Amino acid sequence: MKRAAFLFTVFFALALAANAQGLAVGATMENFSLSDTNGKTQSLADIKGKNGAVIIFVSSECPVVRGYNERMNQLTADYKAKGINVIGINSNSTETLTQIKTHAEATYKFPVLLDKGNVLADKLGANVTPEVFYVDAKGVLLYHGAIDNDRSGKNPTEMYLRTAFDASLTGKKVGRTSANAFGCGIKRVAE
Amino acid sequence: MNQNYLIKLSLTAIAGLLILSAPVFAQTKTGSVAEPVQKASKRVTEIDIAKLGPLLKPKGRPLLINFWATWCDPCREEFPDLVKIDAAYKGKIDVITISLDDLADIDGDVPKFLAEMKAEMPAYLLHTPDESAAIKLVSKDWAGNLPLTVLIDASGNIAYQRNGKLRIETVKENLDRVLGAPPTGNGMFETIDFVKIKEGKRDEAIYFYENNWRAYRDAAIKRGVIDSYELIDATSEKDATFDLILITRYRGEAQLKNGEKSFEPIIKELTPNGPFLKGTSKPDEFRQNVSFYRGKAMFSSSK
Repeated sequence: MKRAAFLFTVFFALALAANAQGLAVGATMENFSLSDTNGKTQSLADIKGKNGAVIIFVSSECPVVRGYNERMNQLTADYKAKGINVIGINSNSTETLTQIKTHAEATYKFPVLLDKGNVLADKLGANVTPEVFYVDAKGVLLYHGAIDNDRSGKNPTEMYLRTAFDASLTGKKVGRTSANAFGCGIKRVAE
Repeated sequence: MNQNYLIKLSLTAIAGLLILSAPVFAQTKTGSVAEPVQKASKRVTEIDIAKLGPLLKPKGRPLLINFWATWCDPCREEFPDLVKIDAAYKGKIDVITISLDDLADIDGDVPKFLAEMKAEMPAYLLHTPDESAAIKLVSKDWAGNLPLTVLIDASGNIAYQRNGKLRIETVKENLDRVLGAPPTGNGMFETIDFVKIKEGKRDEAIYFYENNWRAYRDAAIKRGVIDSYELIDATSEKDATFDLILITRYRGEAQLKNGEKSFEPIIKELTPNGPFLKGTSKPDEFRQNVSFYRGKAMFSSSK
């Protein structure tokens, strides 16, 4: 009985540790290469702008992501000229290539890469859609989490990601470096 | 009581009955009576972050909390299992659900879904501009992805959490584990003070406890800082070395540990210029704290 309790504790602690893993703010994101929806391999280094990139974990099914589609496209348009490019990542094992491709082509003004086996999601510690990782030109993580504080888009009062972009682009330190919000879960292969 | 008053009262009562039964009449016309009754029975309560805190504290027995939304597919898929768990463990644990739907859906899609599921557990909808703070309050190992099911044991510690669609057997195993643990009483922790009132100072002492000690605790209950309190008058015992027994009950060890810290802002807020006193005597001049104990309920009767 004691042994079972001990094993349970170990298991629980490991499960928690696995959850807590991921890229910390201030750490450098390693370059990665993934297939886009046309089967072409693209890397972070290829897509990154002169002032960095924002990686957004998306889904073709999640209603919360759907609510952010327009805002994500607007961010892409507003910050491309400023040297920050948007990269969509789909890590959901439950969505097919055709589904992701059709949806991305009809919806997004940024490329969507396929994270087969949720390897990148595991490496970065991504759990939610949408969830963003904003890195500067050197790949240093400056902000991680929610885009803003209103899923509905009706009345956001905190524009977390834009505020981080603007601070960094004007040479200031990013104030709030992370914020969580409720969203869909990334459907991992091991689920 | 005059006759006019009685007539008025009767008319008011009849009008009230008509208003209450109006939806049933209206629904009879459309041929569906069951639906409005179900809807009316499943009220969803709006909460903010301040009200979320106390909801996360168990009330003497294990607490299972499910965070969900109608927009979340796995949440809807797992809900029938949650209803089954609630039915199977009724009386042994508390189950509550907290929806993260838009506030606009609080009288619409949310209660409609709960009625379809025949869900009987208390239902809340969390609405806050700072979801990040709410997520941290629930669990440090949560990024906000739904669903989340958390099992909190009677002492207030997270015993199990599942982030993603739940597996009913795993939840049951964990519930049985928590329920089968060595007897932990009702999960209550108590602090007990024994107080001796100084000769001829009874009025001043009682005034002091009523207007300070009691007021602090009433505020603490409202804020979810303590469970309850009791002041026992023991003056009839001739040989007792004390006259009053002051009991403060905390739900779980975590609440007990935070007790002192949690009281500081309440004391500052309610008595910024020091405690209310009846006369000129200072507390030390009208009472003496004889002894102080901290205890954990080992056996107790259920309420």
